[in-house]
Amino acid sequence: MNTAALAFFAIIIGTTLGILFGFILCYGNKYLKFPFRLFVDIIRGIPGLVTIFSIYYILGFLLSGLGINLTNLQSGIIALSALSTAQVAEITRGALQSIPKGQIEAGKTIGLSFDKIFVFILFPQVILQIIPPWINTATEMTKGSTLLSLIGVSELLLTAHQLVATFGSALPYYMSVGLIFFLINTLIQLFGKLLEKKSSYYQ
Amino acid sequence: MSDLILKINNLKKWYGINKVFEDVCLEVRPKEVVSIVGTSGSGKTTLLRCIILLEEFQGGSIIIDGNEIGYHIVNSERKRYSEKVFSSQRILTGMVFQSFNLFPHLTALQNLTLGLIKVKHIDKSEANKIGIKLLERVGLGEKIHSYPSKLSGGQQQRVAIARAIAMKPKIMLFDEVTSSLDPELVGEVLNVIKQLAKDGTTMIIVTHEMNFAYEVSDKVVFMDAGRIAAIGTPHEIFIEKKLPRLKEFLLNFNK
Amino acid sequence: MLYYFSFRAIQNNIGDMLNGLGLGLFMGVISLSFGIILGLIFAFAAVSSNRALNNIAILYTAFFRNTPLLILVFITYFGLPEVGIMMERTISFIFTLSLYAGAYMTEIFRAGLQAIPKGIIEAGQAIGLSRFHICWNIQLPIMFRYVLPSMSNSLISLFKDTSLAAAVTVPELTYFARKLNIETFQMLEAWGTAAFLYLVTCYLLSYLLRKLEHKLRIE
Repeated sequence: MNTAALAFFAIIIGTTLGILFGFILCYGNKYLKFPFRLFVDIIRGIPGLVTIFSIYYILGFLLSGLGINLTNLQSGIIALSALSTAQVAEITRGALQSIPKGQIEAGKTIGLSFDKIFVFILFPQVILQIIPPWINTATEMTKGSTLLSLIGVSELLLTAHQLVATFGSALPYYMSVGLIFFLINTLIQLFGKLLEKKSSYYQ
Repeated sequence: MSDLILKINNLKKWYGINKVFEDVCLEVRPKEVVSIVGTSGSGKTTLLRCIILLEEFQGGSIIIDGNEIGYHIVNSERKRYSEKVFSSQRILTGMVFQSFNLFPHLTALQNLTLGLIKVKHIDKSEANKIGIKLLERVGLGEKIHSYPSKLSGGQQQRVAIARAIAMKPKIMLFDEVTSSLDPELVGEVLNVIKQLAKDGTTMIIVTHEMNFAYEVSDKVVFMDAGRIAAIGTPHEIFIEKKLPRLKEFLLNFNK
Repeated sequence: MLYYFSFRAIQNNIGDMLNGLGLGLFMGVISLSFGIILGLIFAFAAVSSNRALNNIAILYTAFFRNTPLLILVFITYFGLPEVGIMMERTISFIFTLSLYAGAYMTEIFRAGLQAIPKGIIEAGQAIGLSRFHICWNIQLPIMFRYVLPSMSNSLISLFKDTSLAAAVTVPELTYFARKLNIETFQMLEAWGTAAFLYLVTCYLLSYLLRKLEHKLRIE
């Protein structure tokens, strides 16, 4: 139940921020890029679990100094959002950079201003390129929600742990939880394939 | 019939519900050079691919030097030979492809020796000797250690020809081997083929180069819409042009 | 808000953390190796003309890629003993990670195999090469050259995934970081050092692998 909310928020926040960061990383100037580059590289260079623990402990401590007490759930969402933001930022940057310059020039020659060029020519292509890796990010975030059980967030895996502790037999519970995630992610992947098919009509 | 190197009887091929060709009959004698010309989609490439067993065919027979290849009758049922037998039958012929198909991770010499070592079980030093000689014969003695990516199209195709010849096939098959080449590179490849003809190699050449076909062939086959529409000497096909369909076809080429 | 940053804490524990890092690298490399073997087997199954083999490969890949690694680790470590298969924790983690790596390798190899132009295979057939020789002397060498970049990325990913071993108390870097944190509350030292070590290792790995790719590309 919480799993769904977690993954959902993380994906939404991550996607929005990620796209924004991606633009900055691609089009920004040296000084603007730097903090974002640092953020993305650090998050992607350390294991997700380390990010989660770091945010839980360190951020939690920092904020408690300011009087804000973060619940496990909140730090979990922040951590997952950071992870997805970094991933989406890279995806977006890659997609933006791979657009052939020729497209921008062609747009200019037919007299479009930069923002119009953007919306009508670049954006559709960018979206198309982003969809498959983004589906992967969605899958990764869903899987990542299980890591939050290690900081005590009450999601599916933690519930399974509790059931195992109560009833003693591990295999069936873990397998069922595994199956549930498998089904959810398979659905996400199938959805992704559907999106790809529909959008390829315009190719 | 016993001195024929290739006899094709009523060959029939379907692709799903589409007929590719039907009732194809052909006889080729040793050292003969046969050109096959025709409209696109007439089945000429597919015919070649059937001879080297890269395509299946549903009816008829192909007999190379007395051996029926691909399929045989067992208890009055038509059965396909196993993949192992196919491999041994494929080396009766050699094929040069339109897109060269050199092995990109091997040098020119290695492209030639791979078959010699692994299929004919010739030892490495002997295989290298053979390979070097052949590459020199096609004019690439200095490129034996070059990788395909460093060779021009014409050079790659010559390596491909040498690679096929190295296996000492009874018949050499050429599938539009100059169609992917820049015009200035076509000549060097055609010259190699002409030399092979002089040396007495039996060849079947599918081509659009009509001048070349006229020059080098003993026999020309014209295929149209899945049948052999005409067979004759180069003079008969290119100069006399008895068939209206043939006339139409040749109009597209400035001859 | 009082925090005393102490280098002492790092000093005392750096030995353990480095050992943990080493173990992580070790587990990553071993899992990748097994993963490559599994990947080769299942990739050929995936591209074969045999429907049943295709489906087995698809099932294997889908299962291990869509199920969270943590759950897989728990199934192996806690669940399997119940049906009689007991493994020491590090071995059980490597076992799980290998199967996991295999699924990703299968996808990578499958794409690599399918990218080889058909004509090259036909050229091999035309000179009479057996299926085995076509596979061994033509398909595999070409495929590996195609997929080297993807494999490098996988190694780095797998290395990061070894941090999950901490969840079953394998003495890995993350485990020690957490231990340090919980015992001494020196969270910056603990996680800062861990993050630093991971970052440096990933960066070095990436650099070395890229150099390797360059060397192999000059041919």
